[in-house]
Amino acid sequence: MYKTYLFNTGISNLLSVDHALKKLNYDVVKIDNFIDIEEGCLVVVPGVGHFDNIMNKLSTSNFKKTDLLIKEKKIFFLGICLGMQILFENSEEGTSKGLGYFEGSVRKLSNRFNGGKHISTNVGWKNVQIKNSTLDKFNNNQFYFVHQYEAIPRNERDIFATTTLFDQSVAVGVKKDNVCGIQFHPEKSGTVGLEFLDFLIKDFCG
Amino acid sequence: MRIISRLDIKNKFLIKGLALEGLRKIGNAKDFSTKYFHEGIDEIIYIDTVASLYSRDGIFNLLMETVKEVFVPITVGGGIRTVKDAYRYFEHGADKIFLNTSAVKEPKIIDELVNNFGSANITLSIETIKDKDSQTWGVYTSSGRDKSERNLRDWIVEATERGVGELFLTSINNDGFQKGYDIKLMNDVLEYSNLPVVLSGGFGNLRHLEEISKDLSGIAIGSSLHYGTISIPQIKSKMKNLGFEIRDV
Repeated sequence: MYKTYLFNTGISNLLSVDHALKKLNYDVVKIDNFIDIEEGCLVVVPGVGHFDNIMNKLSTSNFKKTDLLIKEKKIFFLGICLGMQILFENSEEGTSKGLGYFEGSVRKLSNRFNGGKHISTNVGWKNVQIKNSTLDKFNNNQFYFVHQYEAIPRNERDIFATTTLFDQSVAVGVKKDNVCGIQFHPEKSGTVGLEFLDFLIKDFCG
Repeated sequence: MRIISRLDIKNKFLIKGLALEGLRKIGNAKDFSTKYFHEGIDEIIYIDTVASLYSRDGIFNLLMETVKEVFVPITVGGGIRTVKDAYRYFEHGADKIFLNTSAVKEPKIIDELVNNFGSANITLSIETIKDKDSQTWGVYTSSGRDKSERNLRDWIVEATERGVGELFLTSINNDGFQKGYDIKLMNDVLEYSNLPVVLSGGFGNLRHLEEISKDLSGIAIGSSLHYGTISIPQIKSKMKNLGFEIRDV
């Protein structure tokens, strides 16, 4: 099975992702810094936390070389929840620059959905629409979300999964070459979530 | 709408009482949460009833064991006073944390937590009792033992501004009696809050589901599940019939 580095952001639900990947028989190595990342491997950055906090953590964890490996398409990179948001250029949550692998920015949900009965946190299980032939069987399955910010990709073609909030479409999965991000938590979405995570990684890492 | 099982924890044991008092040991908490996961629960909340008094080792071990087998979100709290306390819950497997007592006493802890962990993963737990004379809702701490000076509505407004991402609302009068949720409380809070609200305290009969609002984000269920009087599939099927959006398992 793929060697999978799981980055400990210091503030995340690391154990949940760790156990999910182990349950799926991945060879998981938890890392606090990126010094010895092997080419051809998968790096997973899990969610939970604050945008600036996680960007600071990356900059103090020897991420530079890994950043180059990602840009040279020599490793695969999967971000979950906040891990997806940092793949964009910037976020309204903080002042740090994002990684910029995807064009677009991260905005507060309440900027788009406000007033009346609108709820500021998207928390709970939502149907996800998937435009990807390998992952087709998961189309319209329910996954667990908990976030207040949304990534808004500039390029429609980067989006492979969406959900609907207050009758409007929200991008919740992006993929381009060797970089992938998902807003929901497959590691916390029951048995279906685990299966999705496995399919996603295999599809994406080829 | 999420169906959330509420487990009050003492060390590694599931306990339950009436009106948050008179606690009784029911069994090993991990066995219960694993069973609920397989039956289709949407989320689990662990409430550590002793953390503020003694050590947290019991709940940490329980959490670490639980996340090996339970692949739905686990919200945990009890005795969180500092960012470090919260960090340690996340480190041991929590997906979300909640706080009550420390926030009521020193609200700026909310700002600190939000700056570290983001808003979405911080839940404010509220324990409330309606005052018989003034007919206003009081805010209580320490598992309903102490009454604070705060008024419910003002407190929710303040905590929302400081950045909590969700409200977990327990009616102390109703908790454990299985006589139904506090519907007046629910309607009151839903009217002015734009945070997701989880209602807790009082579920005991499928009929009680007919009274709840579709604007709730979740309901918490304790005793009925723990004592096995009502099952998760029964609850979900009833809610589906009532037109709620429910997660299929």
